[in-house]
Amino acid sequence: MTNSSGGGEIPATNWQPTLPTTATAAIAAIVGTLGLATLTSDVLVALLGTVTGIALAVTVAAVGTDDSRLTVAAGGLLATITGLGLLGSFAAAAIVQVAWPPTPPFGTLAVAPFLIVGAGLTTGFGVVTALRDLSPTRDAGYTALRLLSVGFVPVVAIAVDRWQPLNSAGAELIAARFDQLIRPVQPMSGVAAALPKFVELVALCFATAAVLYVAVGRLPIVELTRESNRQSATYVRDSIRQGLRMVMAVAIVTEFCAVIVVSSSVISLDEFPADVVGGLLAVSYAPFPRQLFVVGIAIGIASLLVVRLVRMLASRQFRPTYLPIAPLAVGSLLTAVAVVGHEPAAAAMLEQSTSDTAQRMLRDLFATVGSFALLTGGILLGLATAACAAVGVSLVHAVGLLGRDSGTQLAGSGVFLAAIAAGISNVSIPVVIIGVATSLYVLDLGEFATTLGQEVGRAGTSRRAEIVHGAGGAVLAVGTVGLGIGTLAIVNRLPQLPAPPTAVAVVAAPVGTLLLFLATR
Amino acid sequence: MTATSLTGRFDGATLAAVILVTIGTVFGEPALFVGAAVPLGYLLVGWIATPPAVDVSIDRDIDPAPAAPGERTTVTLRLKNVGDATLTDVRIIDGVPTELPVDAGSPRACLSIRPGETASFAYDVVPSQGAYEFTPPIVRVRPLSSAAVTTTRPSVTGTTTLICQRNAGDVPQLQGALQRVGTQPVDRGGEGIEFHSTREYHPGDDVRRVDWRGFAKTGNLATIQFTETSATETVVLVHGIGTGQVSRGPGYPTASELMIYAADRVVTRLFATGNEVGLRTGSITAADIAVPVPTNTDDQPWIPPGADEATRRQIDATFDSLVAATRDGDRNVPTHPCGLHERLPPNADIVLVTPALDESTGELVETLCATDRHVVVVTPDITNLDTIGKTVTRIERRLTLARLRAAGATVCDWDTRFPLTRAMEAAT
Repeated sequence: MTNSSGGGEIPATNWQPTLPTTATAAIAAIVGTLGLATLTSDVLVALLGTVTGIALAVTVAAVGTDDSRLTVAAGGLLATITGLGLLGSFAAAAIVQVAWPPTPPFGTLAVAPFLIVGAGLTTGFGVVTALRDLSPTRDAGYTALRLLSVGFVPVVAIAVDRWQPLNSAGAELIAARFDQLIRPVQPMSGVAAALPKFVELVALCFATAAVLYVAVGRLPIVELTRESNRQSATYVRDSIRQGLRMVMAVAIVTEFCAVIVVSSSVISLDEFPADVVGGLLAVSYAPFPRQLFVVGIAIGIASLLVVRLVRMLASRQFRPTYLPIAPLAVGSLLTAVAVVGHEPAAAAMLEQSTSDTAQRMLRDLFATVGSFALLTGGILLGLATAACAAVGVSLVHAVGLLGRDSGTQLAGSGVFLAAIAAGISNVSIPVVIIGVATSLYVLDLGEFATTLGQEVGRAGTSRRAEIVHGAGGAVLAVGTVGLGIGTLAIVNRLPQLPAPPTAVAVVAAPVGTLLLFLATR
Repeated sequence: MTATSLTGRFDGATLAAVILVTIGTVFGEPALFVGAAVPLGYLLVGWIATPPAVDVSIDRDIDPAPAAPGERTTVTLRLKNVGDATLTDVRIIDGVPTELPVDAGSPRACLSIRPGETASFAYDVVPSQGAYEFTPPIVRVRPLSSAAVTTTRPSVTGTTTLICQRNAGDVPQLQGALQRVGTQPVDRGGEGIEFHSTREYHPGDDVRRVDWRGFAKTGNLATIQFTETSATETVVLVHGIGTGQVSRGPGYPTASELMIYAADRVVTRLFATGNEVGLRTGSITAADIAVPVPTNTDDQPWIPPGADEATRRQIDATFDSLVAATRDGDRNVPTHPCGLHERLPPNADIVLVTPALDESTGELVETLCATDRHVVVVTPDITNLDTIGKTVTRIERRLTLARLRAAGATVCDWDTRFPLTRAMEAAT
């Protein structure tokens, strides 16, 4: 149904599902899920799942759709909590079925509480997704990618913690070489050793001049200078660069000569005057010029990096999607929290553990894995769980189980899961029927809101039609409930069947036939 | 052409029924078996659904007709359910011409109409000068279950063409911006129409001006004096057509089009009150104009002030050519009109119509005001705060207008979202 709607710009938000119907569907989904969970006595885990689902949807909205770095960073932090909440929800579904503290052996756990968690999770996620009109394929998938970027720094931190490179032989070797570079030890009779050290010094000088030359060129000295002083600033900058260029030229020539002398079998250092050799030795082994050069290189590189970073952040071309600055920053923050908090957390865990066995187990765990790796691993687990949930939604969409009105489809599926959980938990049959009808009512409203948003848009007049459809959909749902209860009454009037398999076959045969007939129509 | 189809929106219920039956089988729960009756119910509803008939009559109304350029015009569609059944879901998209911007409301709606009832919706468009042909709307009707759909394009009664022309809309009154322009009364008795005072009779006075009533009462001869008027000429300058090729948004009239409309309204008012009016614009040449007009040395139209029908025709033809010129796109226009000051009559007032979007406006007005003329500037405001660039343009224009006021000009800053007459009558 496409036609011109005239000129002018219509905002993209106009084509989202209409708000009144979507809000009605969302309310119906939440009430349906929590109501069924209440009847199965699992309202707490349902609430936990719903809140986690909402948090996951907010994470997707923040990380997957927003380009603001602050929002992405907040979403990254929320993702960690969401992932842990998700794990906690399923853990809670298990804990409510066993005594606390959990002590083996455990009996077979019921499926219903887990279904209820899934129902809450799906409903919460679907409700926010519907109201924000998020796209599960694009937004959730992109969120998963960014969350993997968040996990990069913690993974590196764990690797460093496990590998300990600063204490390794390689690190010690590098440190010794660096120390030798800036504080060379002069041999007692080392006239022959003077020239190699001199070559080293001149190379250091060249490197310093080169780095400073590039850094001075990149520093925005002239841009930041007042207009009236720009000519002077340009002159000063060019003079410095010219001086550094001269230093580089002299260093190259000197280096070339020194290398020739070192490699020559004709020219011997012994032929040089004693004062020259003495001066060469003093200069080559003096620590101050070397330290000065190293400091110069450090300043030059730091300036280059800072200027590059500032320019990149200030540039209009730079977008967070090009470089995962925000996810990496969040990863660094989480790692910093783990660095600071792992020891107090370990101490608190040991204090809180009541039994000797638990204390011994924790001590063994800390000794084997380390408290830092354990805490960072927990953070990573949370992130991975949130990312997997987001990817899961994308996959469900990819296989075609979610359509264009995916938000309300998810919300309706949540109610449907809750209805199944209620059916398994031996809740009365009419309640299950009402639950199933509610889920289909939510789906009905969702489809209506989506098509209305796409064909008419939020700016169009539609309030009365939405009310009429909402009421008509409710009547239809009530009618199907009546059909279900009628079916129940008929089933109750049927004579008892000899065995459960026979009963299943008797019921499944007409239902399956009817389904086949309707599906092939 | 009418198309019907089934939406298949309850197909998902099949999956729900299968899941319920399967899980019911696995867990041996009769509740789930019975629960499968609910999705089956939805499937049955989808099965019995048929595409509904589109029994509606549609009427379109456009107000005002004809519309002035830039004037917000309301289009109202009324749908009457002429069938016997309630139409719960009627989606309609009006066939608005693509070049016509919708300023408020939406040309799309979803309505629910009982038999015999009429539902309506309205939206506003902002036309430029021209004729806009509306196509019949697309109507899509669904039953309550939304399981089937009928789409058609029914014919429409009422107005199908929006006419937008320059001479539509109100003419500004003389009380506002034009108060000091053209023929003005002076506080001096003499020839005229309106009574001013009486004075002692002098031999040779016209006998028709003798106050015979006073003579009958007092026996003294007196002569009636009427309020004299200072008859000045007015030249309308249309300036900056090239820089005015910008609009508030895609499809909206450009500042240039609105300038021509404003100039037309001013000229109409001045002619109506017996003023001698001339026109000067540097945006076109005489060759572009359908009738012969006087020109300056650059062959640009320079119509000297006059109150006769020939002058009016020349001015109208020049406006028509300017409208055509604005549609041709940017034109290279000299910012300083050639020989303007030399050709202006010494006692002429100036009405400058300009978008005030460049520096030349300030310079021109300062020069004109320096010669002790009454200068009225009428300037359509098409700027907004949508982007940084537009915000800067808006601020620059405000500064230009402040400069014009400081020079002594009367500035009518016309917010183009509202009628021109309101802006002109409010400006002092």
